[in-house]
Amino acid sequence: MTVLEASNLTKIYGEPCGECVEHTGPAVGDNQCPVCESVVACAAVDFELYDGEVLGIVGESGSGKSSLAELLALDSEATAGRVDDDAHDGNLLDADYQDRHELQNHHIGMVHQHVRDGLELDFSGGGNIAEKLLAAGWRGYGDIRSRVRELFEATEIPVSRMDDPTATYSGGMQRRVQIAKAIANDPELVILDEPTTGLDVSVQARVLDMFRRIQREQDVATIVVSHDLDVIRLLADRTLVMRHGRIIESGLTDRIMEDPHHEYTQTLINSVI
Amino acid sequence: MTDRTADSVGTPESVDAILDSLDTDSLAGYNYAYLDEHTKREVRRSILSAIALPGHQVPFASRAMPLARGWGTGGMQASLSLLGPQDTFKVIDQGSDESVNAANIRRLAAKTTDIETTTDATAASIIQSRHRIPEAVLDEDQILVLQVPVTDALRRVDGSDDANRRRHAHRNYSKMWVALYENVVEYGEIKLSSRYPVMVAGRYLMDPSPIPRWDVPKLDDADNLFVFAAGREARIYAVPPHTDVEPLAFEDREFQVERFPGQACRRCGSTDTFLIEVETDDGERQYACNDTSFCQKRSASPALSKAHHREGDDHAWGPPTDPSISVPERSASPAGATADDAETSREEGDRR
Amino acid sequence: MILDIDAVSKQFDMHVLDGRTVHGLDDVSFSVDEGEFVAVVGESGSGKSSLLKCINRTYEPTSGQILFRTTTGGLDLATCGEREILSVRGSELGYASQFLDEIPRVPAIDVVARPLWEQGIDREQARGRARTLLDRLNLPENLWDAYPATFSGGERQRVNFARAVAPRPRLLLLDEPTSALDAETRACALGLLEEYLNGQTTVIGVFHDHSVVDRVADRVVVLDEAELDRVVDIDTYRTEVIT
Repeated sequence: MTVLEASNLTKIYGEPCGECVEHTGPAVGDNQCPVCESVVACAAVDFELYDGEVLGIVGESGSGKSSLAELLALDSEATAGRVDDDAHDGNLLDADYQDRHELQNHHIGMVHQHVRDGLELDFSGGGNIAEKLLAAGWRGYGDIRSRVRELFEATEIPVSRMDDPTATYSGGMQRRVQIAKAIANDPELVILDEPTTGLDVSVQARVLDMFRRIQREQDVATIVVSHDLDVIRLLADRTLVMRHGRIIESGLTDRIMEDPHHEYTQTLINSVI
Repeated sequence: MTDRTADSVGTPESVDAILDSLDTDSLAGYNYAYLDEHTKREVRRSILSAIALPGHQVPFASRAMPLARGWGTGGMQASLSLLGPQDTFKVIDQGSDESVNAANIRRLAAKTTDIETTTDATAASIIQSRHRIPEAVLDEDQILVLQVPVTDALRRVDGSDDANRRRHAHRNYSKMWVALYENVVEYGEIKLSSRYPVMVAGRYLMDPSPIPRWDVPKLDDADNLFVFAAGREARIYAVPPHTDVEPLAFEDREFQVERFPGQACRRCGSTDTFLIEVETDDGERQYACNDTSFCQKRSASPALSKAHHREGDDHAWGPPTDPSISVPERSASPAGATADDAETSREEGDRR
Repeated sequence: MILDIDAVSKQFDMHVLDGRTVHGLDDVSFSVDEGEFVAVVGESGSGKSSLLKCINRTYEPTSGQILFRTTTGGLDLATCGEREILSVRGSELGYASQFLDEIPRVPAIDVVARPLWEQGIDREQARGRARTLLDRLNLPENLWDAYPATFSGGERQRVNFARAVAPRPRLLLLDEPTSALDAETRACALGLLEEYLNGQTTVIGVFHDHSVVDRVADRVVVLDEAELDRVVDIDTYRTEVIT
């Protein structure tokens, strides 16, 4: 069952002149339009996401993967394109402020690359998660505490730290709070944007494994955006490879890793140390 | 422009001459109720907007007043725009008619209008108050003007007015709820003692001004009009009669008022009014009614109902201090609020 | 017939090697009946692993068809959609590569049991089955709750083997599953294979050890330099090898 269908997702920074998409991309080797100097972060992105599936989006800087993640999380406005989703009538990208908040509270959980975008550092770790629950209408304090504790345990954060300000947490713990927050209301879709960036290597493995376990237990459709092939290999069933704002290759993750077709994908795979 | 001025005193020759000519108790030199008519019109329009959108903060161009900001200039602009020859005006400050601030405001109003002033809450048509709602139940033809220092309940969680305005527009109050959650985490209950956030008509989050929690239930389904005005912040908001006003609370951490277990006012013996602690000369701690004029009435007549002036309608507002005292059943709200609070207080007593 | 490999070729365009083309498989055709045990043999680089990977869609065949008869119908593994591949992998199609890919912090027993409970089997039952398999493969009990990352090659291979075998897939692809095991453990593994899989399980296994082929296979596919050399039944193969 399809959870989400995206077509022609396009994000252009600046004033597009109408020719930006054709004058940028991997064939040209640049994201910037030579005519109007707008930057085409991503364009013509099509894909489907199925129930319970993990879709990886891999690329280097400037590939457009993070811009794409932001579009899907409804954190930024698309220049063009369409996203059709079970939870919403019509193009998800056209959702107004009210609907967008409803979607972000109930249906889409996002784990941001930069902690400041995802968490209120002044609130406690538990408070950050409680915010999601409260926004969804939870009004029983005891119930909220139980659910927060449950999520702390699921994401392997020491419950004893629940009431400490999030600013005092380590990077790994902050990432876990984001994950807990993202899954708090049992969303249909979770988006992870560079889930291991900034974490120590040993912490990375634990966080990824924790997420993998939760994803499989709850069968929640996930999009993972990362430049790190190991992250993609571990989590994703299928993968999209992006370069200069376009998808240049897509397929089963193991197929992409072992039998890359596109020249750039081969370079990427062969570059793994 | 139809400013009502006194007879002209001829061509002035010097500043001294002008000042001398003003040395009178008459209205000479002032427009009626101090403010010019344009100002009053603007303030009245803002008040009407505020009444039309209960709990929503309406901006207004706050004028320079003859006292500093932070001393009730907003409340004054509201009161002076509303006062007319038929009105009777009462001013209290923390429950007292006699504080310097209350007295000065009352004097300014008296000097620039020809209205009666009073200390009797049941006799006033307009009451301006800082941080208290009177003990006496207010009627449908009464207006209570409250002085407000901070107009936005969300200021507690975000200093950005821009962000807060957007939140109000979209009824996005989750940050306030998290602040309450954090409060309960720290204290086991919602410990906010003043400026307790309330939802008005299920739509706007409102700051009821620094009235004690005791007074918050009086806002719900009242018979009178509440006008909130801030001079420094230049905002006016209102709660019209019979509006739902609900203090934010969790299902299992309900809103509670202050309690004065086993205490009574040392002057009038009341156990159902909001009390303040008083230290006597020998270091002893005693309690007294905060609402001094009501206390005086009670001293003369200890069994006086808070609704004594409402014919046949013997219900009061405000919960009793002693949880063991039951409140008479009320047909209409704010009876509901009081009974609930009494319930809560009783339950609290049981739990203890 | 459960699998029909029809003119499958696999070519790699190595852009990183100045566009050189490498032939992994060249026009390979043969079919497999349900319940058969087919061994794939050949020199290093003859295409044995490539063949299994093409069936599993880890490699995308350049041309040809791989018709797999599933419980719901037929599927061309070479060209069908990714969703279909994902739905048959694990349940109907099992694959064990030579070594276990790293899954950090999952204890050995859960590496084996998880695919079972994800398919709906009760968790404790799944773990029970996992324990039985690991026991039969002589994996020391004190390792069952340990993370395979710390295991030796042979220990990992046993976990890998158990994982592939546990769900009893209809078609099982094994790539050198016992290469790192000593003779005794290898015998256990093969014995397990014989017992555990029922008559409906089809196995295609790559083996370099003739004695293993001799023991388990019904037919032998011989590859030579990416091409199919011949397909013979086990008796014929035995005589060929001996001579």
